[in-house]
Amino acid sequence: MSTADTGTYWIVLMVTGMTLLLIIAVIGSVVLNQRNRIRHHQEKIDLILKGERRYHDLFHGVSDIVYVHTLAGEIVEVNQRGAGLLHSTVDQLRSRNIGEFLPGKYRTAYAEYLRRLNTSPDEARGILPFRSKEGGPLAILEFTSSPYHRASGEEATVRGIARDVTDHILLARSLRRMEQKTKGLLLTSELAQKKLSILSHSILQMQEEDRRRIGRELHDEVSQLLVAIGVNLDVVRGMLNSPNGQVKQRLDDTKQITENILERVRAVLKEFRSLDIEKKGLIPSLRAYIDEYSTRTGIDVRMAEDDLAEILRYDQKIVIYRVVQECLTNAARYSKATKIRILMQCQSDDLSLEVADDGVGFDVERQSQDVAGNHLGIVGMRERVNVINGKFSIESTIGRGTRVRASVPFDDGTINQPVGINDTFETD
Amino acid sequence: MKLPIIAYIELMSNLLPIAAGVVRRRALRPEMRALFAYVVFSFGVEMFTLYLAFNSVNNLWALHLYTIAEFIFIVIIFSRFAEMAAYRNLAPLVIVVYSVIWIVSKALVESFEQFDQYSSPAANGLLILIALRALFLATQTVEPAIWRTSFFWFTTAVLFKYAGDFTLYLFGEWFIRLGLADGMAVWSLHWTINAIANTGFFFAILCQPPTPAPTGSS
Repeated sequence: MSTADTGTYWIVLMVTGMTLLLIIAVIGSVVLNQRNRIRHHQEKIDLILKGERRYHDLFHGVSDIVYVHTLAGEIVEVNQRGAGLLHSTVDQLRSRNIGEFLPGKYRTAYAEYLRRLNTSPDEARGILPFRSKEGGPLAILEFTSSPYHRASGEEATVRGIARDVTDHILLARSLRRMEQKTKGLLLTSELAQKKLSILSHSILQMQEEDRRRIGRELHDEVSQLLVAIGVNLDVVRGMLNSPNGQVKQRLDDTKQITENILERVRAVLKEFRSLDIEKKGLIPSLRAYIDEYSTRTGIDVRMAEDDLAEILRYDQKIVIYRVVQECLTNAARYSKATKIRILMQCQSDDLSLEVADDGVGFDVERQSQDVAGNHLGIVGMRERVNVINGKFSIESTIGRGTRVRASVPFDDGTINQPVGINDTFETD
Repeated sequence: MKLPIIAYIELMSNLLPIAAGVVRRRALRPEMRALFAYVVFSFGVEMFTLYLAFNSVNNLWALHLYTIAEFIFIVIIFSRFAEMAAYRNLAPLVIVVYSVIWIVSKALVESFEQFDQYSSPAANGLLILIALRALFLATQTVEPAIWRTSFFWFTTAVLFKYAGDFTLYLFGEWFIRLGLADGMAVWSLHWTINAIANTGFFFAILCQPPTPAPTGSS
C-alpha cells in the first residue's frame, strides 16, 4: 500500500469512527433528553398528585357538604360528608337525582329550586330536609347553590355547599316551644297573682265587715243594755231612801263598774270602727288615730310621713294602718313606752314603714314561740304584710325598746292605673 | 481463506436475535415478526455469501440484491412501528424511490461485478435519516422511557449499523483494491459494527413487553 493509500485508509477509518461516535452522541443525547423530559414530567405529575391530594383532603375533609349536580339535579360529585349523611358511598350517589332523597311534600320546592337555577345566573339559597331512605331519619340542610356555565358548550353544572342544621333547627323549635310554655306559665302566674290579690282583698274586706258587725253588735246590743242597767240603777238608788248604806254603796259600785264597762266598750268600738281611709286618706286617718291615742294614753307619738303613700292600693293602705295601730296598741299595753316614732318613706319601688318605741322591749325569739301569748299580734302583722307581698321584721332588745319595719311594694296597678279589685270593695 | 475471529463472532451474533425470536415467537408483535424475518434472512444471505467466498465465487451480485432487500425490510419494520397512518403510507413511496435509485444506479453507474459503492451508501443514508426522524419523534413522549422499548433498540442498531457502513461502502471499491490484510482490517470494523447491531436487534426482540413506538417513522 502506497503512502497515499495509507493516508486515505486512515482518513476513511477515522471518518467511519467519527460517524459512529456522532451516532452514539446523538443516541446518548436523545436518551438524556428524554430522561430529562421524564423527570420534568414526573415532577409535574408529583405536583398534580400533591394538588390532587390537597384537593381531596379539602373536598372530603370539610365538615360541610360540597356537591356538584347537573341542572336536572343529577349528582355529579359529592364529598364524603354528604355521602355519609345519606348513608351511601360517593360512587353510589353519582348519577342519582337529588330529588330521590327528598320527602314527597318537598318535591314542589325542589322543582322550584331547579327552575331558578335553570333560569337565573344567581345563586339559590334555602333549607330542605333530606332522607337517606324511606322512613329514615331526616337531615335538614341549609344550602347555597350556584350555576356554573363552562366555556365551549359543555353542559352547565351547579356547584354548592350545604350545612347540616338539623340540631340547630330542632333546638330552635324546642326553644320556641319552651318559650311558649314559659309565656303560658307567666300568664297563669299572673292570673294566680291577680286571684291571690283579689282573695287577699276579699279577706281584708271580710275582716273589716266583721269589725263593723261586731261594732254594731256591741253598740246596738251591749252598750244599750249597759246604759239601761245604769238607768235602772239610778232609779233603784232614788227609791232606796233607807239608811241602809251598804246597799247604796253596792249600787254605787255597780254603777261605777257599769260605767267602766261602757267606757271600755266604747274604746273597743273605736278600735273596731269602720275605717274611712278611702275618703279621708291614709295619712289623715293615721294622724287622727295618733292624736286620739296620745290623748288617751299620754304617750308622745310623732310621725314623719310621705305623701306618696297615698298612691298605695286600698288593701295596702289598710295593712299599713293596721300595722301602725297594732304597734301602738302593743306599746301602750306592754312596753311602758313614753315615746313612739313613726317613719314612713317612699322608695323607688316600695314604701317602708318603721315604728320604734323606747319601751322595755322583749325577747323576740321567745315571744314568737309563745303560741298562746300576745305575740299573736305580731303574727297577725306579719301575715297581713305577707298577703300584700310585703316584707316584715321586728327587732327588740330588753330595756332598749322595740323597732318594727314593714315595706310594701308598689306595683303597676299601684301607680299607673286604678286597680279594678279596689272598685269591687267600694260597693260596701 | 482465513477470516479474523471478529468475522465468526459477527456470524454467531446473528444467532442472538434469531434465538430470542424463536424463544419469544408467540409474543412477537407484527414489527418484531418483521425484524425476526429480517435477521433470519440476513443470516441466510451472510451464510450464502460466505459460502460463495470460500468457494472463490464472486458474491458481489448477491450483496447488490441484499442491499435493496435489506432496505425494503428495514423500511417495512419502521412502518410497522409507526402509529400514524401517514408514516405507514409513506413506506411504499420510499421503497419505490429507492428502487428507482437502485435500478438507475445499476444501469448507469454500478455493475454486479463491482462493489455497490453508490446504491448501498444511498440506502444507508436514507435509513439513517429515517431512523433519526423516528428517534426524534419517539423522544417527544415521556411514557414509556425510550430505552425500555423495542423501537429504541431497533433504531439504535439501525443507526449504528448504517452509519458505520456508510463510509465503508462509499469507499468499498477502493478497499477491494487494497491487499488482503488491509482489506480484512477494514472489514473487521464492518463485522464489529454488525455484531453490535445484532446485539441491538437481540435487545429489541427481548424487550418485555414488546411495545410499539409512540409516534412513528416512515
